[in-house]
Amino acid sequence: MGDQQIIEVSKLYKTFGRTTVVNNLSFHVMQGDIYGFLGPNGAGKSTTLRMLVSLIKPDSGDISIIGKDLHKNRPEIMRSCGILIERPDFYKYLNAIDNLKVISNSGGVCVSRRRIHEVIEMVGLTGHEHKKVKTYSQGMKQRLGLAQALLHNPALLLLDEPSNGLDPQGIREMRELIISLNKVHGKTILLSSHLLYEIELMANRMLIINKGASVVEGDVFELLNQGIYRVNFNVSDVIKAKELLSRITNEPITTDQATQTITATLSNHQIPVANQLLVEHQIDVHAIKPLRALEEYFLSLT
Amino acid sequence: MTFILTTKTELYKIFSRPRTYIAYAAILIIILAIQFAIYADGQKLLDFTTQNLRESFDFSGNLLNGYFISYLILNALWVHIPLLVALVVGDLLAGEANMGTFRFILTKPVSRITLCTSKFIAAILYSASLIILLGILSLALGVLLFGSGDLIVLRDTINIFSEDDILWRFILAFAYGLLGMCVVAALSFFLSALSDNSIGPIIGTMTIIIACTIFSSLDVSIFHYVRPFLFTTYITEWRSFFDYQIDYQKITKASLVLLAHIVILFSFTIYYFNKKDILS
Repeated sequence: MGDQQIIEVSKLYKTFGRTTVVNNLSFHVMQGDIYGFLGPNGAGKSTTLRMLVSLIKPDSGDISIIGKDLHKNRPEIMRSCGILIERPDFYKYLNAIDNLKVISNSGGVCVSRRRIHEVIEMVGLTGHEHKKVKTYSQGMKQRLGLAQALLHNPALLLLDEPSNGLDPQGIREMRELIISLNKVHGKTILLSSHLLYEIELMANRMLIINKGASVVEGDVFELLNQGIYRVNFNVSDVIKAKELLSRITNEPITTDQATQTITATLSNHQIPVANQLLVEHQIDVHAIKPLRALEEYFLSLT
Repeated sequence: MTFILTTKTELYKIFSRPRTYIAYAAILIIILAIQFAIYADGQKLLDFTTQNLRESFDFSGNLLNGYFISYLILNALWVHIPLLVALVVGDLLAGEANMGTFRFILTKPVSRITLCTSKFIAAILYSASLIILLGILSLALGVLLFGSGDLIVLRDTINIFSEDDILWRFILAFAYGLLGMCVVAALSFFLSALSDNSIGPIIGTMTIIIACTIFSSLDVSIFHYVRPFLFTTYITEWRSFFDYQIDYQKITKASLVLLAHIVILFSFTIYYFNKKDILS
């Protein structure tokens, strides 16, 4: 990845009434990143993204994009950004081509018909471009939303939950398209999602936020693969198993008699040791399910 | 360049929507209905209107002519046109918020002031198109169906204008009427900025017009103080163009008050819209 900061957010605050929606949030996105912006529903992701594209004014804090202050250089910055915020909504009485034309012209950007057809092909809507948008499925609208973000060939894409409303095949195609936009076309992408696995499959760096505040930021692989797991063992004797596992870990161990499950925090190499220990003491191990610590933490938020 | 592009696009959006044509269809249907009704039974109406005068005056010639019909239509329709203006203008900002399309448009390089101004210019042009349609249909169709002739206008006095002294009065009356409709458009546009759905601004505009009309016309002392500041006090001033001695000073003052309303309402719209958080 590049060494130039494309987005720099510093000490961002936003309140609605008495509710603090974004609380002292700081992060930065480097050139060439697919930056995962992860958080449960209501964590403040969309509000943050809306502030990044000046739909909402922050109470305080600084936003710099492509090295320029957003407040002072908004038109120039917006020319470099392709943006898809939440679910895409269009003029239902117009077809896809007219929608793309009207949206870009309304926003003060003139695009050629050729470019419109290029992006329609890029998002896989060829053959549907003359249909009125009111006949489109949610997945088709999502693709058209991405098409409008790509229209003026921006260097930076800010995509808010781009897979929302798509079927599994659509999610996969969208994922491949986003990765290709990054790898083949060299676009820097800020990708918001409430799905960890989606971020894991696409992003190289990520930030988890909760209640508007930063929880953890860093390299996706390093954060998710620190070698610490919460491991669920499905065993025949929970009490005896707890006693045995307490010999190899000092972390708290929880048990659930009803499901015959015992949960322990173990490192990567302790898992086979624990399994061997249980088996040697005539405890039947029916299943072992390791859950990465960050994954478990994130699931506890959602 | 950006401003021309955005204004053209706003006009395209207005004229791509079916609801825009409801207003044109409404004007067409109402004018045709009135003209057909007068064509069928108009002489009785004219006789009724002039029955007291016939005792003192001798009327001759084609009094039930296109100009007379146009004047009747203007009197009948000036209260309905604001609804047709609000129907489209009230939707210009609130409709985008309701549809969620602001999330696309306002994340493009255009400034909110440019977008807002383009939309307002488009609103004015749309209002002008309604007034022009009203003028052409009522005058041209009226003259075509009923022929031309002198115009009798009953105001404080009986005013009779010869055929060659009428058209310019209508043109100025329609121009003044357009100024009045621009105030309605500015009001509707302001309410549209406040709202995230289109119904609110339409109902709001009509409610304010009805309330202000009552305040302007009720002869109660408490309203005397506010009356000079209400646009509804001046919106019917187009009738002054059908006086023998046109009071241009009064018309100029009325025009300036209407213009001030437009400037103030549009300034509020820009100010509010520019700092509004787009949450839709």
